Amino acid sequence: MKAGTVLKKICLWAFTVLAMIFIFLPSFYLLLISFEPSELERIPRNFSEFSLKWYIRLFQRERLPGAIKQSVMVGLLTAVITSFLSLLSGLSYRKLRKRSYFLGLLIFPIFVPGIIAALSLSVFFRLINIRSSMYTVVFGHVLYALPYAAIVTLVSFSGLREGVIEAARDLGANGFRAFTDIIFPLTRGGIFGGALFGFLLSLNEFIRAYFLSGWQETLSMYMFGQMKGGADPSIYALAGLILSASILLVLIAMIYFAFIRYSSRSMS
Amino acid sequence: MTNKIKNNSQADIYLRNLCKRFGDIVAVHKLTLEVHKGEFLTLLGPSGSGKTTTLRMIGGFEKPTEGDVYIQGRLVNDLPPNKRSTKTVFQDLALFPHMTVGENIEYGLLFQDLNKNDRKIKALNALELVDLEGLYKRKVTTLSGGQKQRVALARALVTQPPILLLDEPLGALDEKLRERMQAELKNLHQKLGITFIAVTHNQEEALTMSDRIAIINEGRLEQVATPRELYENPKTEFVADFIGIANIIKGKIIEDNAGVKKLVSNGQEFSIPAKVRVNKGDSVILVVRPEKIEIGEKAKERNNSFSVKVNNILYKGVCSEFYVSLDNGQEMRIRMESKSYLEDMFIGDKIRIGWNEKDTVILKRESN
Repeated sequence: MKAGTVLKKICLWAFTVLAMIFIFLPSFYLLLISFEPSELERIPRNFSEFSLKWYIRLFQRERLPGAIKQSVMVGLLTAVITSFLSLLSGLSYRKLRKRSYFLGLLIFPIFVPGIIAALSLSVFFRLINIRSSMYTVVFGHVLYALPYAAIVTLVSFSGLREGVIEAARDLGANGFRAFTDIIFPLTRGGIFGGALFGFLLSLNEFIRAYFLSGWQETLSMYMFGQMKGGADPSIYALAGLILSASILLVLIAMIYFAFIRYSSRSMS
Repeated sequence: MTNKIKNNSQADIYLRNLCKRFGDIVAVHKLTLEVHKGEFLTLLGPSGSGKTTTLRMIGGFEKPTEGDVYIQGRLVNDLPPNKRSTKTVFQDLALFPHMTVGENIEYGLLFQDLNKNDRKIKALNALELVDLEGLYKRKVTTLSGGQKQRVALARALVTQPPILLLDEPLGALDEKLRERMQAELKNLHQKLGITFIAVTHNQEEALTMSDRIAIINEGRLEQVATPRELYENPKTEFVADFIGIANIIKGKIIEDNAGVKKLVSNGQEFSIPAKVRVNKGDSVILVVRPEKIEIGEKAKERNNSFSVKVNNILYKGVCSEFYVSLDNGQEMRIRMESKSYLEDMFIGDKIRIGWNEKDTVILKRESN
């Protein structure tokens, strides 16, 4: 290899590593300071000082379990509904002629600022006399997560060739069997990806939840409340927990996708 | 469900006045065609001629805009593919990438009243039929092009359909493999005795495999006939030009003093078969195949004989091709068996060529 090429490679790698550090350092820093036993906002001075004190304190808070439960419920419902709607959008995308218009309409909500979306929804619900509840939050979260989830799903649908569906129909499958035997197995990566997006986006969402929640707060609302009322370091412990959970989820998803790619390699 | 019976037991497939339009584009126009039970019929035409659309209307993947599709006497216009007795080998094969060879082949059997064991036995038999024993458990993604082709065939045939549709079945294969598969498809057709309808743009493929060929051009049926009939007796200018190599001479019909009709083209007269029904003044074309033309001494015995200039000579092994031009500028192609006396001819030579009028076809021109 020539010296120039080696240099180029080193520069490229250095840049990549720097960018990664820039992206991950803040979250990682937060994780580290969550182990500091004193109330100071700093990394533990040495290894023996690492403590789980704030994590234990966290679970002594009485409002936290309810908030976690609410967030998980909202997240799961959002995941199920968004992935189902994404699936429908994928199915209709197949049949459409003017696909770019459809895609534009589907993605448009991304450009509506969260606070406006939240406010307008809350006004709308009041107008039609629907009381704020977990379901109004789910509604807001579905609207929020759908464009992202649909894009993930559409990517997998774009790899689906019309020919294999026609072949299934030709061999005797009705529309439903063609879906269960062919379409779903070949696009489930995108559908589950959409569900994962729905869950994670919902879990981390604050503004819509804030405007649309009833009496029961979500996790992000709880955290926001904690920080406003003078931060107790247990908030860092919570941040650390959420970060770890997210990393775990993404890892599981990556392993799952790698498995799918392995088991149906030709889908391109 | 419609259940009209058409009184024609001969036709396995009957297309009546079939039309298909996509918006303003006319893909198929008033196509009427009968396919006999057990024959191998090929729809042949240039790309975009509507042949694939026609096949897709038989298979149930497109709905006719007008006209009817009958399969085995039954009107099937409104039946989806899974309710039709046809099975299809698709152009891109369309194997299910997430299934093994065995699962692909057994897929069509899932909709029949068979247990798992029976399905497997049938699938193994189908694999044997296409010479793929031992590949039952393989993933289809690991197969070669030729193997995929055979799996697609086995998958369609395992359900024992009375009619097999093949959309450019050999399009994805390389030249050598394609030739072998042509012979195999023909064998398979003879062995199974079912109706095959294929679509291709490759005339050699069509001529090799088919009992009859339907030539389709711009959505219209030009001619349906056996390969020999198409070659020797084309009914339209398009067919004459499309099948094989044709020397086409465009001209008008005149009558000489004795009342004998002749064709005149750029001042040169050509005699035509007496039985041809044309009138004085008709615009016609004269078609003569390159191998019907003689060179040298023999040419003088033919009743159309001309002196020409040799423009090019191509030696092609078994045969040689001569590109010549008549005095009136008409260019012609001649194909002869490569014989030693031909070696004395060179580019620029004046030679004599000739053909018998009975070896020509006269067609009225569709337009001037």
